[in-house]
Amino acid sequence: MTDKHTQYLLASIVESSQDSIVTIDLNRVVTSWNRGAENLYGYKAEDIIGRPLETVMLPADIKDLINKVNNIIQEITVPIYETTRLHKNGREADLEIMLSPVRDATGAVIGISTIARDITVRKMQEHQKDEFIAVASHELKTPVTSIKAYTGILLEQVENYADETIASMVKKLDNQVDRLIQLISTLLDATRLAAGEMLLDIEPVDLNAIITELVEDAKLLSDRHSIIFNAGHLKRVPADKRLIGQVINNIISNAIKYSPDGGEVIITTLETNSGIQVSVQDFGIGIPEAEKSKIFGRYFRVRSQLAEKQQGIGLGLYITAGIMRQHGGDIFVESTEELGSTFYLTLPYSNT
Amino acid sequence: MIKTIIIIEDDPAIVEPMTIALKNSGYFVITYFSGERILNNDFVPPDIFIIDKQLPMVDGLDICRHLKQNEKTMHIPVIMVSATPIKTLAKHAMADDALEKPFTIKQLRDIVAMHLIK
Repeated sequence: MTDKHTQYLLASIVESSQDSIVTIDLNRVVTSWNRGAENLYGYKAEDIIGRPLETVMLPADIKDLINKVNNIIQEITVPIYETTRLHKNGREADLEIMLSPVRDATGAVIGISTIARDITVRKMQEHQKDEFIAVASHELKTPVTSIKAYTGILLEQVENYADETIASMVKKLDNQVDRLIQLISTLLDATRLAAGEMLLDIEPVDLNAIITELVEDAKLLSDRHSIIFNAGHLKRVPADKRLIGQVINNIISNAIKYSPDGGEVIITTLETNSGIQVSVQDFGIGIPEAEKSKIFGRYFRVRSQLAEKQQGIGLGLYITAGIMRQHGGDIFVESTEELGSTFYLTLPYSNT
Repeated sequence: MIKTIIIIEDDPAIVEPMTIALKNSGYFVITYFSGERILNNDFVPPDIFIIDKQLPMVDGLDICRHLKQNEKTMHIPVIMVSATPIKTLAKHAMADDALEKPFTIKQLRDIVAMHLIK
């Protein structure tokens, strides 16, 4: 194929793509605009080429785009992201955007190509699905409250029964109800998080005290692990006591779950310049490099033989990360396959 | 002196185990399926109220407000119960405490005992 032919072919692919494909120069001025972009934004190519991309953007997003353009100029990859842009008629559309560099013959970055896909329908479906899960989970709570209460009374009554099988069955019944309650609360937390409705009940919290209690509980879970807690000197930190406990509990139980041969789980708290850092280290199976960035995503589960035997719906770390962000804190992981993982949680002393 | 509890909750499958659990702890329990008698001031004041938020006709929070605005009942502890997060709403309605469904009978007994001691 001749160069000219190749160029013609490429241009035709770009032109007929349903995705919006737009190029801008380093000052964010539009240099090309395909048919997909005309459909998405409502502007004809001849109307917008030479004008800034800001024309179709919400003012609040402009600073973010400038940062992303600067990253690309510095050869830093910008991950695919979601944003909202403006149609000519004023309607807002939810988009998924991929930015990549446009280079001249010498390889220097001379512009940015932005490929955008309309995800408004997908967003709406996600929202409907979340709403359905929220309503269904809420409706499940009432019968589950009743079952839990009846089981609690039964448990007390069978305590002194001579027939131990009945007592043991009621105990199992109670455990299964607890599992169901846990599942419902996980689903509700995840939908509240997605809808931005996770409300925090902030109070000064003694993190070391919470962890000490969780460590005691965790010791009962496994006799093959030795759980070590190095408590640093901490001031009380503003946080939601229940949710932070849930976060740390999740990280500790993951550490136990994913180190099936036993060994140490080391929990350390220390004070940083601006807050508190909690780390939880295990010497288990670790996380494959390719999956590290995905583990905080929704419904994600590590693909391995061990993981397949574990229960769960892949929402634990998604909720954990959401709760940390809601606190103005963060979560990240260092991990080597076969050697183990360390999860770090940070919480600021002031979350304003 | 046996302490009296009024439970206002419209779901029989919740009222029954709550009543049994509290009776087993030695309380005298009266149950209403709505807040009608409360709003008409047609009841003998108990030592504590347990009120579900979602009730037919009148919201449980409004019943709580009614009790807290009435001189004869404002000193009686009210515990609000709901399947949705209710702490803040309960505080605004002047309730003394809140319990989110699902709860264990231990949590129910503890919260009642705590407010009866005060």
